[in-house]
Amino acid sequence: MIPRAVRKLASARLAIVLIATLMLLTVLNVLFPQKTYFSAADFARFQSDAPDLARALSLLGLDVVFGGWLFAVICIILCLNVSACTWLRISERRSRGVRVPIRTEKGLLAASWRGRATDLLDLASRRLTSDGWVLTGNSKWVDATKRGAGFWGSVVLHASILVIALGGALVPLTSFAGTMVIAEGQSVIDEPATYLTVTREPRIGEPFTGAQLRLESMNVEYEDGIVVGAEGQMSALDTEGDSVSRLVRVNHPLDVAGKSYLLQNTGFAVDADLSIDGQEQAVVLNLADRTPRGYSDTIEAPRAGGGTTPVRLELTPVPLGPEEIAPQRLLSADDPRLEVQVQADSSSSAATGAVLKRGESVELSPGVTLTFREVRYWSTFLVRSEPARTVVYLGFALAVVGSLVRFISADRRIAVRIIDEKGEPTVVVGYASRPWGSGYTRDRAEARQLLRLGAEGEES
Amino acid sequence: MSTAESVLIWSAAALYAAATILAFSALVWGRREMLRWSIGLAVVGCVAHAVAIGVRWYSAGHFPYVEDYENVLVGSFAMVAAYLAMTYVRRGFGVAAVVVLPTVLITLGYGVTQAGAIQPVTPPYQSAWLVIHVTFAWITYAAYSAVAGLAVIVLWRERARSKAIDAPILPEWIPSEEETDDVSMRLVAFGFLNNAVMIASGSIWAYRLWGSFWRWDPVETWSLLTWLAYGFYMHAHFTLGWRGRRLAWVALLALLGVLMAFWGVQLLPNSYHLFNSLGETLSNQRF
Repeated sequence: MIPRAVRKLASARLAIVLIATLMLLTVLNVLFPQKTYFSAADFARFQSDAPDLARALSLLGLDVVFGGWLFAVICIILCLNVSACTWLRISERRSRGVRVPIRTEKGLLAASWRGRATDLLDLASRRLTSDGWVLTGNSKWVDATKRGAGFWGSVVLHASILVIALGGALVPLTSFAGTMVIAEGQSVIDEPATYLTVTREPRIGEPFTGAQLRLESMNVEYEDGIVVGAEGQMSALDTEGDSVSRLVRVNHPLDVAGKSYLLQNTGFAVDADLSIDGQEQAVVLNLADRTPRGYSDTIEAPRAGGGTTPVRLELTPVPLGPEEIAPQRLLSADDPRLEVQVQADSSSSAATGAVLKRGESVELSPGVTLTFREVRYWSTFLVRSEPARTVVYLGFALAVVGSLVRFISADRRIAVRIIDEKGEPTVVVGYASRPWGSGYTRDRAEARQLLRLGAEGEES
Repeated sequence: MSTAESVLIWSAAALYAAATILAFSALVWGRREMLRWSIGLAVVGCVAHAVAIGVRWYSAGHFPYVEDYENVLVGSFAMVAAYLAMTYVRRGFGVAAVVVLPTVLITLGYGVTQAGAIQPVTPPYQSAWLVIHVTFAWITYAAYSAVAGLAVIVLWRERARSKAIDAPILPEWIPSEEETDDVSMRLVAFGFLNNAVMIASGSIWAYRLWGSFWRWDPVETWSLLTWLAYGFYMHAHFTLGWRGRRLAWVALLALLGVLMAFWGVQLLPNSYHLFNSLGETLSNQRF
């Protein structure tokens, strides 16, 4: 016996209500301000402008519809609905076998044969049994069925939805998200100190892999002032000793030790020599801020006697006048200039500056000299790990396989009935196929053959 | 958009509009020759549409799938092609034009308003997964729009029945309920299968571009709900034995999801699927 609660849970009406509610929530997601789409400042402004509405939305989980409790509850009930439905189908199949209704629409009944009905019934039974059909019946009727794999295709299809939901549920437990910056020629290790930000750590598994990463070189190509190609040659070595080297582009991340390193953004870095009291050291300075003229940043340059001097650096890809802005091909540093502005502080009364070509130097403070060597690129990498995505992909693969099996493999049925027509026993042979008539041609031939043989048997 | 492309697109649109009027007339007055003319005009429009795609392909130097206009250009062509393929199987299905062709016209109209200068294929679009994703999206939505067209035939029959109009008043060339139902079901099954591939390939592309296979982007969510809705359609047909009017309404309501996925995104303040801005935001400031 199927518990009544399961039948209720498996009802189609419930499925309609749930899907319709999900659609409604998706509409509300468009209509109401969402934390996901608004910046923190904009959302705070909305909260101060309409505090009551904001509170109500928050209470109902409608300010982050797709991350809210309401959406989650409905998804869970929908999963239960699909589970109950699948279980019900399997149970019914076990207890009753395949049920393919004989369709009585015009043209689907094969024919009828008027003769000694029981003879044909016997003949049909023998013939169909020998042909692998599964028979049920009595002295009045014979039902022959051939189960295709379609039912199991349907089960796989239903199960695929649950697998997708399972994958989705596992994502927050297993995923990692962070960003890191690597300059050309730089090597880093996947450890907490390397990351610029870490926004999500997995609850299951280690967040940091210890893999060594190196950005060998970067190349940016333009077409009509638009970036059409940006690729970095990267190499990596994981803790198992497996190495990988590949060109990394947008859409083509570097996959190492279960993490994907996605190229996101690039700017200029300055390859320079810093001389303090005659002692030189090579430095790479990432200029993080994009400006109309190029990229800039402010560094704290060490002083010979201790302490630091704030120095603003701005690199332009070509020589620019004071009011000029960078050309569209911003990242093509054909003839770069490094503008150095030593900021005024308590120890120096006025700011000083210089514009350097490659190989030129400027004194930042007494005994401290900066020499501009070369331009490099720095690149921001989004580092993500979503191992549960493979479960979701598997779910979709199952959906495709299940659908194919369901739609291609037919459940077939031939029914031979003795009916009473105007006091005369009459045999009717019908055939049907599900999900659609892919078995019709064969079964029509089979039904006709039955009638023909029956007729011949009668004659003989 | 070049002059040749513009002329071809507007010619196609005019032909589709004329074909729609004729299909309506055929349905209302039961005139079969009007339907023949309607289908003929749609075929000519489709040819002009195909040539427009070819012209765009030639002038852009890449298959038109990049921005909103290009996406719509090919997507609407797929809708017409699916409609004509269905009509080839059975001429009477041509009356589905009363839904399919207006949908195509609205889609094309929207696309034309979004058309800008030809852009190179920027890094975010340089992915085979994206090509697979949009191709299956076009096929899926073409199949679903054809189903919505067929739903109108079912509802037209039902209306005639409910108004107690004698059956012979309905022209004999309008396909039977069973036939319409059977073809609708096949199209839904075909669309459902392609929809699954579309969502899966889109999620793979999303992971490789944004680092997340699913971000609950409204378009993603609408696609998933549309998939579930058509899954329900099949369930209702096979398991619950729904036929006729109820199933036709499910088909029409499910089409809402398709429309939202195509145009609904433009209502949003921010979506990862804003086709016309993806290249801009990711290529100039970020890749």
